Amino acid sequence: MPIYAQQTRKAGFGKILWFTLGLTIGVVITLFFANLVLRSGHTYAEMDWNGDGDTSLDEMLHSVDVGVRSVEVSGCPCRFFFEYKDGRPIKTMCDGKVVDFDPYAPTVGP
Amino acid sequence: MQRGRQSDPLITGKVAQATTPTRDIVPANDFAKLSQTGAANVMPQPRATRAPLPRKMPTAPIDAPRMAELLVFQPISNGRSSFGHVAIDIDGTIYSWTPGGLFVTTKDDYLKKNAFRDGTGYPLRLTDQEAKKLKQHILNFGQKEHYNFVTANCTDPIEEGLEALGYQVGLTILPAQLKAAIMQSHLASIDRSNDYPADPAQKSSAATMPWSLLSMP
Repeated sequence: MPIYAQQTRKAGFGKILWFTLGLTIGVVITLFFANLVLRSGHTYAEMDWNGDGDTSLDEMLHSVDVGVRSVEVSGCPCRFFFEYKDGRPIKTMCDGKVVDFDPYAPTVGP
Repeated sequence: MQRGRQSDPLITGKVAQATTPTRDIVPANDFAKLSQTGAANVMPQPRATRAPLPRKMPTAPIDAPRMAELLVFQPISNGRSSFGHVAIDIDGTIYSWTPGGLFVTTKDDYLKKNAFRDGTGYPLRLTDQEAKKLKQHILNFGQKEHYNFVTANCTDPIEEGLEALGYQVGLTILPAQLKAAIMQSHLASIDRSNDYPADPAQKSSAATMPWSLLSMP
């Protein structure tokens, strides 16, 4: 076999090796973040944090920093979402709809 | 080649003979003795050492009422809060640097909103003037910086503010590191800490990650 043919085969093998390595690293990183998002326990509709009707990739990744707590609004069970970083409220959802509810609002006495 | 080796002064030792100082020129001391044997050429010379900067100690009386308190919260979940969080209370107002910017609110409101996790407060031994300067530094930081998980995270405004006051806090990235640095600077002590336990009804059940062990308060 001519020398130039051997060199070409070696160069091709190196490219395949680097491509496979890059692909593997990319898949591992993607699976890592996908696992974090899935473990957050929020549904796709709930992850629309800015309320624009669409759930972007940024909003999905932001889900790992959002906590959820069960609250009761007018006798109905609802889910209250807040920022883990500083506890700021994001939204409250009852039956899949966003409602105006602030659990930290001071209660008014009778 | 052979001729070169014979004429090489390093091999024949002519360098040592040529550079050997006589006692008439060099004072008779240990260095001169070493020089006679040529050993001075290979002896390590003393380096100019830089004196360590004096560490600033707190000037506020140890038993004086403390205007500022560092709040360190436990790690939670698997995102940016998985290393914990740190905020500062200055005169009843909380300053918390977050991805959304500088969060300023009253201490009661902040603790109510953060009742889903345990926290510990460390009153800082700062004078009133120092506390006011620290507050101003944090407000300026909030106006000019953007949050970054590594380079401008929740510890940075407090860390830089204390450095600006002259306290050597060093490079801290994690809340636990900032707490340790403040202890080392004698700005706070474990025995004067305040506990802010989570509300059992609100306590988050989110699992923490293995790396959260690095930042347990």
